[in-house]
Amino acid sequence: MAKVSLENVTKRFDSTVAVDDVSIDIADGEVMGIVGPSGCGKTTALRLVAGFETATDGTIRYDDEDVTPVPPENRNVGLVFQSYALFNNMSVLGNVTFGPKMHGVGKAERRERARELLELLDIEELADRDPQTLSGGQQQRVGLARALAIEPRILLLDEPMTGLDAKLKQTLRQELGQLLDDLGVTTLYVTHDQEQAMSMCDRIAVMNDGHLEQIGTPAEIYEEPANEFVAGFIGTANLLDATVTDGRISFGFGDVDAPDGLRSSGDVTVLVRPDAIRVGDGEDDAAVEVTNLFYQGEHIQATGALADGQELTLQLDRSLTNVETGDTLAVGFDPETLHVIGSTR
Amino acid sequence: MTERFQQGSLSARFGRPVVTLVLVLTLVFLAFPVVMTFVSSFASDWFGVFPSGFVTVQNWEDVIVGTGVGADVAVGSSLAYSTGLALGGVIINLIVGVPIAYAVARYDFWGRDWVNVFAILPLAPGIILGVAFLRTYPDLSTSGIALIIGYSLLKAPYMVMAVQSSFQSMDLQQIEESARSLGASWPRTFLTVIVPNARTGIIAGSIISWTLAAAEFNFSYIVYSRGTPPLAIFLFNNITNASFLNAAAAVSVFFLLIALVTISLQIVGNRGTIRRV
Repeated sequence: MAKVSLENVTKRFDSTVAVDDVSIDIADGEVMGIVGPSGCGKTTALRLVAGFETATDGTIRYDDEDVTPVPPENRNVGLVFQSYALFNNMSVLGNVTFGPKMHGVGKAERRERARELLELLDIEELADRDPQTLSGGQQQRVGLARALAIEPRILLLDEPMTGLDAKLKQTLRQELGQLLDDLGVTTLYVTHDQEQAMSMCDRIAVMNDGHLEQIGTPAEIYEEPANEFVAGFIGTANLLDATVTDGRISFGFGDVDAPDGLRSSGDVTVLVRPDAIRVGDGEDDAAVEVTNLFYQGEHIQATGALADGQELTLQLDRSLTNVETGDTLAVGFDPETLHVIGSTR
Repeated sequence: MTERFQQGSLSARFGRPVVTLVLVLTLVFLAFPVVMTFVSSFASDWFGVFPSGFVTVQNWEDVIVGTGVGADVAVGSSLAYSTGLALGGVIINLIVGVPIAYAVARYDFWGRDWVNVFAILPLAPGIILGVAFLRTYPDLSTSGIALIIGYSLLKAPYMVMAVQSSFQSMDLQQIEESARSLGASWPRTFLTVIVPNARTGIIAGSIISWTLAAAEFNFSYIVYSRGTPPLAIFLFNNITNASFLNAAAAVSVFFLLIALVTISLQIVGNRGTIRRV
C-alpha cells in the first residue's frame, strides 16, 4: 500500500488536453473516487497512475518515489476493468496466480495466496473453472482477486460494475466497500456513477473536460459543491437565482434567512436539494405549480414552476398519490439546508 | 386466427423437415464425389455408373510403392516433401501473420489500412504469383525454399484473417494491460496471454493455410522444375498418366491426410483450452 500523488499532471493527445493540470493526493489506505461525465479525463487519469499513459507535464508519485517514467509492469498496481479482461486460456486459479508468478513468488506460496483470496471473495469453489463459464458477478470477483494477489501498492478500479444488473451492483457495492475497508488498500475508483462513488469512496474528485472541479468527502461534494457543474453532476440539484442582502436570501418568489456564517453577498446561485424542500403549509412557503410527476417507487419526483418562472424539482413522499399535474403545492426551505454556490462558511 | 394458430402455420409444420432435407441433399451432393473416389480406389474396374471388382489394393500399392504407373515416384516421398513445404509455409505465416493480425487489431497506427491490405493482397492467383516469383528470383526456382516462401505468401491471408477475427472478438487492450499491470513484460504478455487467447483462430488459420498449401497446384506447377515433385504435381501426374482408379488412390491419400491433420489439430486445440496450474 502507498500514498499516491498526482502533482500538476497534464496529458495531451495532439491538440486535445485530456487531463489539465490535475493534482490529487490519495492517502495510504484511502479509497478515492474519480467521477465525471464521459470524456472528462477520468480514465486517462487512471491510466496515467497505472503507467499506460505518460504524463505530458507533472509528476506522479507512489509514496515519495517518482514513478512518472516507470513502465506499468514495474509499478505493482492492481487493475480491474469494466470487462474484467480475464485470461480465458487459464483457469480461475491460473488467473489469480498469474501476477504472483510474474513477481517471482514460488508455486506453493502463490497457490496458497490465491486460495486465500478466492475464499475471502467467497468463490473458492470456482478455482478450477474456465472464466468464460462464470457469471458477470463471479468474473468481477475473479478480476478483483487477481488484482489483489500481487499485493498492489494501489488498486485501480475502472468502472468495474458497469455491466452488472442493478440488484447485483447493489450487493457487490456493499461487499466491495467492506472489502476495501478491511484490506486497507489504497484505491482509485473511476466511475461515471456518482451514487456508487458516494457510497464506496472516502473522498471523491469530480472532473469535467480534463479539469479537476472539486475534491472532498461525499458529504462535502453533495452538501457544498464548489460550482454549478459539481452541484448538477452529483445528485439532483435546484439551482436558483437569488440576492443576498443583510443576512437574507431573496428569491423572486420570496425570501428566507441566510445560513449562519454566509459571507457571500449580492447576486448568487443557491443550491436546494429536492430532499431538503419541505412540502407543507408553513407561513413563508412559496407556491409551486406541478408540471410533471414521476413515480419512482421509494418516492415521487415532481417538477414544478415557481412564481418567478424558475423550475423546481421536488421529492414527494410516495403517500402523496393525490397530487396531480396542475396542482399548486406550498414549499419551504430550511436555511441550513441551502448552499450558496462558491461560498464558504 | 386461433384455429390457424393451433394448427400451426405452413412454415411451422413443414419448415424444419424441408430445411433438414435441403441440408442433407446438399451435403450428399458435396460429399458423394469424395466418397465415390475413395471407394473406387479399392475397385479394379469402373465402366458404367458404378465401380466394380472389389476389393483390391492394387491401386493403393501402385501409388504407395511407386510402381511408375502414374508418377515416377512413390506417394510417400511427395507427401513428406509437400507436408514439410506446407509446414514451412505455415511456420512463416505464424511468425509473420500473427503479429501483423495483432498489430492491425490492436493498434491504430499510420498506414494500418495499408498493412492490412498487403497482408491480404496475396489472394492473387498462384499462377500469377508463380510467374512473378520466377521472374524476380529465377535462381530460387529449383529449391524447396521457393515453394515454402510462395506457399506462405499465397496462404498468408487465410492465417491473417482467421487470427485477426480471433483478436477482434476479445478486448485486446484491456487483456494486455491487465497482464502488464500484473508484472508481465510485453513479450511475455504477448506469448503467454495474447497468443493463447487467440488459439482458436491460430489453429483454424493453420489448418486452412496448411491444407491449401499442401495441395497448391498452380504455383507449384510454375515454380517446380526438378527433384521430388510436390504432392499437387504428384497427383496431377497420376491423374494424367494413369487410370482413373490409380488416380483415385492418389487423391484418397490426400483426403486421408487432410482429415488426419484437421482432427489432430482440433484435438490439440481442445486439449489446450484451459491451462491448469
